[in-house]
Amino acid sequence: MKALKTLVLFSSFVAGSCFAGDIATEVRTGSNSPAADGGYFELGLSLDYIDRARLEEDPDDQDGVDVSIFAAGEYRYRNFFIEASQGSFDGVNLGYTLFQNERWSVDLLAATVFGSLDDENDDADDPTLSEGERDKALLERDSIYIGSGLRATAYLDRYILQARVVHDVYEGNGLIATLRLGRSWQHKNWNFHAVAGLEYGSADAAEYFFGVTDAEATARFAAYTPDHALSFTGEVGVTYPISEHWVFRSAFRYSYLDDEVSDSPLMDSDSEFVFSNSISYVF
Amino acid sequence: MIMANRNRISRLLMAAAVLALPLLSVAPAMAETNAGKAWLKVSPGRCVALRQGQICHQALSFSWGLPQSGEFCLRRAGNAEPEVCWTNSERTSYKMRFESVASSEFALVERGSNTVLDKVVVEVAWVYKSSRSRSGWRIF
Repeated sequence: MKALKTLVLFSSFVAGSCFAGDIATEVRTGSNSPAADGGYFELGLSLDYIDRARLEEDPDDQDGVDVSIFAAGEYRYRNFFIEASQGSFDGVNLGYTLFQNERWSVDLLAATVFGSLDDENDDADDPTLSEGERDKALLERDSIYIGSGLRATAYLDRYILQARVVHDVYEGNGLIATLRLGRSWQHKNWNFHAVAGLEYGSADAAEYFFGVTDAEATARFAAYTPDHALSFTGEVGVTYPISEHWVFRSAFRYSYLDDEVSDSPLMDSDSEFVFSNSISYVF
Repeated sequence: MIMANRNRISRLLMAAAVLALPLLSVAPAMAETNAGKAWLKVSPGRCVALRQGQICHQALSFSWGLPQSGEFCLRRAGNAEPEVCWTNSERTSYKMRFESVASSEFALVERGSNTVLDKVVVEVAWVYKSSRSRSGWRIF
């Protein structure tokens, strides 16, 4: 029952990598111009090796192999869109395209949703809890972020440049801005890609994800108030169409975190990497 | 006992001959049917790219059967030059690398007259629909 009450969207963002936008989807599919009406839906199986930057409640979960089933998709109709892409830096995007031509696309992001939410989680600042329970609550606390803002994308031959600014409208947890550059290469039917990007999180956003308030502080986790932070993430990968409906993907993603983030008592290291391999059925 | 066996054997031989007669009479007809029609096959018949509009790459293997001797060619629709030509049965297959953004038709033709004896289509398919652009501002 607990799992049913848990919403997790792109938890690795919460782990540290501050990123947004769906440039990864564009370069993975070899796109070189804005998308058309229509979309796709896919179900897949993913085998990932993850070395997490954020502390896990169970030390055995800090790094290791994860096997997961995922659902993903995108759909566009008359400039309205929903994006929930596998391998995305984002989570789920709901929005409307304000302007689009062969080179440019400007999108209004009504909601960019990521993080985790569990209505059965204890409050980390609940004084009636034991020290151990408060430690657990702190590590598992909600991290849902619902941002609204603008996204601009430029398609420059095989390069895609994307900038994005969103502000949390869920609980006013600050601003996140990203700038990313991606490129794709086709060799036979193999589609290789690379993405590099910077993400800025305001002090409010950094505090929401990585801060520990005085009320939350425990003997293990001291109070911590981060300032604004700038992190880097890079990804290389390949996508191969096995058939008209089956797709194989493999990608390696590395994130290097700002000291303001990695100095948090909730963090285990200043970097994170994920090696992901998946196979999915595309409708 | 020996006579009885001989009779049994002769009856069996006669029965086998009767049964074989229709086969003997049909066999030349089948051979004539196969020999009368040229055929062309390709494997695989489909090339899959990731996104519509990408060049699809595929190794193709053609094979064919011909009823008569002569000079023949394998032609790709839209190409001025044939992929390959040969005389009589000196060649019965052909391998090539296919690179195309769209489906292509290949034909087995008589050299000179260009009479099409048989043809096949190599389909190009994709997983994701192509991007296309629109332009202009749209404010609700």
